[in-house]
Amino acid sequence: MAIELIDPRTCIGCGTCVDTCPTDVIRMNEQTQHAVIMYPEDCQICNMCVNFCPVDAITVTPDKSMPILTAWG
Amino acid sequence: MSTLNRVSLPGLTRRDFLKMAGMTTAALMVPGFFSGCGYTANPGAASMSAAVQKSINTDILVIGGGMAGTFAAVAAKEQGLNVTLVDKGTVGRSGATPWANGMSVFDEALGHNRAEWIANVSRSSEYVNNRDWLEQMLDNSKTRWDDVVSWGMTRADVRHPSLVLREKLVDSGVELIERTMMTTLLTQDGKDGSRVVGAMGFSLDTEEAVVVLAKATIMCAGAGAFKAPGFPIHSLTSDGDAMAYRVGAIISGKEWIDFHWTNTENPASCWSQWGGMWNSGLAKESIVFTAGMTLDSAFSIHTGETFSNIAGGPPPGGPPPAGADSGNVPPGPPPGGPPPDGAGNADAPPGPPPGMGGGTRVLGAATGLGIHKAEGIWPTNMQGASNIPGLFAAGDGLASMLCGASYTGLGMSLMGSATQGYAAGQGAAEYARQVAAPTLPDDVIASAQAAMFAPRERESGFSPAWVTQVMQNTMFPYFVLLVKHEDRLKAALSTITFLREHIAPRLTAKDAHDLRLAHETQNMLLNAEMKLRASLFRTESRGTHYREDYPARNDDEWLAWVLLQKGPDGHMTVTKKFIPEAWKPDMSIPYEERYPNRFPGELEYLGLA
Repeated sequence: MAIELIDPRTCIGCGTCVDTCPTDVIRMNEQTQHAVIMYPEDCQICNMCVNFCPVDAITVTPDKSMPILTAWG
Repeated sequence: MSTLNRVSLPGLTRRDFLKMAGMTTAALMVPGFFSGCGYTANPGAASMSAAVQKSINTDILVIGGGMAGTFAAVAAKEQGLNVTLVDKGTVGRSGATPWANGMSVFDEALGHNRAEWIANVSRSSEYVNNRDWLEQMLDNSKTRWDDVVSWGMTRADVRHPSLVLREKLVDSGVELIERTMMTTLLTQDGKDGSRVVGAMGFSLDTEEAVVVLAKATIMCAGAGAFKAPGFPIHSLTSDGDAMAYRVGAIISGKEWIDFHWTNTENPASCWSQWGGMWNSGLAKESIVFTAGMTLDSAFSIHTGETFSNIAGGPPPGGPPPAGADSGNVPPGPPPGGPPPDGAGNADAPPGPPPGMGGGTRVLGAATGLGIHKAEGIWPTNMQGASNIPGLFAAGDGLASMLCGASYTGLGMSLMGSATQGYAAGQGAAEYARQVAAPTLPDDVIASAQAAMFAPRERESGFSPAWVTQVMQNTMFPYFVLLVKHEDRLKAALSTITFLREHIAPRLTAKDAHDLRLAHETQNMLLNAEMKLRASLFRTESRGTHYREDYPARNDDEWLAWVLLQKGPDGHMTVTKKFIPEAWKPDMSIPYEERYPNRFPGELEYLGLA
């Protein structure tokens, strides 16, 4: 659902997707120097990361489901 | 989650939390593991007292890097001042900017008639627009268009037009601070109503506090909306209005309501809905509507009549710009724009046009949107100065009333942002030249910083995601903001007020990402209260404000704007300001001609049926 994969075999660690994502879904893993999906629940499927990735490493699908949020502890 | 729930006990010690934080460090790298829940322990609770503070002194601070913010910064820079621009994302890629593709250009050489444009905008706005701001756009649109062309926004070889804004700012020497959310306007001595002397925020990446002291601050943070339950937020969270309201600024236009369609196939997919606009490039527009958009489709849901998605509204030819109102307009593909290559394309009739999602059109993806250029900070002059010294605004966060109760023309939003941004940049520069560089006592800054980071330090409380979902469930049903009634508005207001007063002070944030959500949630709650109170106050129907219990225009009482302001006791005050006599409609024109759009029950109410 939504953002599914940043392929570590393809990702060159340029950070473009991190800067591009308007909802702060993607962060850099400083150890591996690859971009990682950190907050997929906030992906709004805008495809900007896909559009700006220079090496086509990112897969985004158009479907999305609501996260289950329990009301209290 | 269940493990956490079990340890969410009042007796949990700080040590337990530290232990838990250690245990969960690895878990936090698992996407979505703590995506949100109700009252529970904060897995990332941490003391922020030692947070690094980055301090900047500048002449002009611009908050928001869309079309308005870019023009504001460029105009101030042209005056030779130091300019710092802060963006919650990165310039050109946050908010509505990437999807904005049309700019209204008034050009008499092309046969455009000024009197006709003014008359059409007034009628479409149902007369509560501000003609001075329209004249400003008509006077300057050609120059601003030439600007964006000279910057390269229309060049075929640019990667994307929105990126050009950032290049222009960098080339101009504007200092950019990106991926940083501003949360708080700083006032002289920390008092409401005093001069604004800058703003505070935090970096999403380093979580350091960012303090910008400026002689003048220009708010260009855009607008707000309520997304459908389950939809992500992050954009359209009314950050600017909320920040300004908290320091005493007057806010207006909150009763106007727009909404967005979506489609049954992948309804939450932004790309499926708006990819066509992304792909179509920047173009001139020159269509001004002869009647405003209507809420007919929402009315048809309410009355049980055949679902209407075409009646009323402006001519077809594509949705307005700025990622904006499809509202009641059938959202055709942008002129000349190829369909996107993403999923959700409609291949088979009777689905929407190519590029605008698949399946059947439904309400809705978002509601409670303001009308472009008709909601936000109330200006006191034609340079976007607010009632608070040192605070200016432009674009969709300025209640210029360039448009009024309904949206009035293709591309007027984006061009309005350009012309207003430029004017605000000049006005702020003029102001900045006359005042001394501000200073603030350390304790005032420390107090603001502690409030900003408070959700990070709370050891238990409510997650922003859960509070947002409760709010969305309260505000989103069509019968709250689209088909309004006093009873339902009051019911929603009761819930929203409780959330704001009782729940918001206990929001938690496990990290910087979550802290952003916590502040956005608080801003949206404040916006919800504004929308509800303004809607309750206007006891008539007009444009995109429909009151089932007052289903007709009332020109004697309501050729007026609704103003909201924080009162001395902290409660929201609501007042009205009549429009100038000269802008009122010709009352000799029969009612039904003066207002061509109909509300359900209107003519019966007036005895005209």
